Amino acid sequence: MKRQDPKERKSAPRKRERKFRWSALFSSREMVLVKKDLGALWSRRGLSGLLLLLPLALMVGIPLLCLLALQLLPQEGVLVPQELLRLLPGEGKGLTYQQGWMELLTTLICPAIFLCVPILCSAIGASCAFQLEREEGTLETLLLSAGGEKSVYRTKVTACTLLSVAVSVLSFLAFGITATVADVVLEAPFFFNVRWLVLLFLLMPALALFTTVFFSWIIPRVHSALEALQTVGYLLLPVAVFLLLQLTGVLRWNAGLMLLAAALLIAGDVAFYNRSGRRFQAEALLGHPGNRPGDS
Amino acid sequence: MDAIVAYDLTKEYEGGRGALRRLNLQVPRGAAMACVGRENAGKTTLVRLLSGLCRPTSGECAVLGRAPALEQEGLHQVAGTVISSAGLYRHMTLQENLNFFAALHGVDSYDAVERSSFLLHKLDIWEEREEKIRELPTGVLRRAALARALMHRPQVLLMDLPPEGLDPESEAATKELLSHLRQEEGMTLLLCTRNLAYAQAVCDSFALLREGSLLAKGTLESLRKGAGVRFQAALRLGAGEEGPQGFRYREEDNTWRREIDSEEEMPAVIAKLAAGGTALVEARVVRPTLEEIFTACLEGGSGKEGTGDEETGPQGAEERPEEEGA
Repeated sequence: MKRQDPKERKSAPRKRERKFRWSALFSSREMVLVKKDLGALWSRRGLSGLLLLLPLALMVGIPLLCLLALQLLPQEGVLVPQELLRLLPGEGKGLTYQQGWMELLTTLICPAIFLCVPILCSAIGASCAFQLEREEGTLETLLLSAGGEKSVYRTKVTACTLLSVAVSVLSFLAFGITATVADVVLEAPFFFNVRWLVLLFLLMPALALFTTVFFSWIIPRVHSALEALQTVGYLLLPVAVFLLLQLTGVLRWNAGLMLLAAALLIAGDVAFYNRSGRRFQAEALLGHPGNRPGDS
Repeated sequence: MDAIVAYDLTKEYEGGRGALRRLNLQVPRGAAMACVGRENAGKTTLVRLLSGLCRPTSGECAVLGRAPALEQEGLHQVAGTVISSAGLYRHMTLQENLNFFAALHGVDSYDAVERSSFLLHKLDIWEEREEKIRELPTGVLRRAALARALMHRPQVLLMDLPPEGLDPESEAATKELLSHLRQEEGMTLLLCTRNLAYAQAVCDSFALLREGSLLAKGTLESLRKGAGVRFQAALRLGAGEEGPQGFRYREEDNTWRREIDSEEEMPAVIAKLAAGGTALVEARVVRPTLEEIFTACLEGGSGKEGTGDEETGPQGAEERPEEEGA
């Protein structure tokens, strides 16, 4: 074997390491805070259970139930009714009753359900990272110890968003397996398309970030983590409207509209993140002395 | 450079409620100053302003040359803050909490172990280090909060004690630790408390606050002179002895007392009594406490609030009439 000339070895371009480093996102001290937040969330069995089970219930449980229900529908000689065809964006022709319903489920209903997952995950993570810390007095301690308000804000928002995205991706993978099996069983068209791509890579992360920032923004306005979690209804409402518009045929989403919506949401995220960050100040978050027990 | 400075520091909350009014304060490096006052004096607000938890309405303050509101990261590296409302993580043990906050400050894990061991032993809470915070009693939590603030060896400690004060065990442990840190590490201390006895034991200079304004500041002696509070000669006489003229009997400790201007008068008092044949069991000089001086300042300074530029008592304090001597 020919031995490589040392001069050649020096001049040969080195392969760039593409290994992801968490230090690109967080400093070592911020990593400590992230680990603590994840540990705190995990230690609260109720919240961590919700975080894991809710997405599974939404993205696996509901499709499975629908699949089981579809097995009870007649299988031979029945085509998709016209009302159903109108809702399906062009792929409904030639499908059986069961296949049409499966297509309806994966094309219209499940995307809306999937949009609920990052909202709920971010709500749970952010209520633990912000509201619960404030309730227990540890947010104040954190602001006295860490690298300042901006660092705490950035670290918590980023960590909560990444957690929400990770859980959402996992729930999507679980759904993907379920839907693929269902498609194979029913001989329906494969569910994954461009719309799902836009949903997974653009809309879902944007929603996760928006929800996290929303929860950091409402800290001074709520008195408890439970009260904060109740506001998640305001964020789920647009998703419900989206689904309703789809099912009534008033609005038919296509990839272009979804891309536009994603772009608007991302722009809104950036603006909201910056605005909320400017208002993330100890005085506004914690209230002023004299109104809290322990102040002299 | 002074460790802590405040120039015309003012803080008003919504609704126009003032918490601090044009406070001027300087704490030299290595000194221990106590800001004392009753409720709503502005003590907690002062600590929050100096630690960057709120921003002043007007005026300036700095800790080791750093503006708290603008240089939070730098400030938290050199200063530690203890506020009663700032808690520890209930799902973690005491040791885990200390390690966490040390890591947040960038303290090496080996140093953190060593430092936490030292602090826990000094504060006498070593045995509780593996207990979850939610299971610890209040007294231990107060000491744990102090340990948390000292993990990164701050040069300045800002301490706001709770209104109810500390239990006797915590008082003893914290006094010893703070004294040790001042001597060994040159730490500067600003203590805000209603507990005047504790403040007197720990600190060597004082700022007296009332409703957000500085009444007076200085050492105990300068405050005493400014407030016109005098020493007392306390005598315990033999059985059956009548009290000397000019002395008043105090039933609480069975002593006869008279005010004197200075400790140097005491030998003359004793000599006069001895010459008169009075059987004297005990004679001592009773120095006024901070509490007595503060009360005198409040009474003497009613309606007149100093800006605190002078190192004496309030302006316009009346001189006490001289009592008839022995």
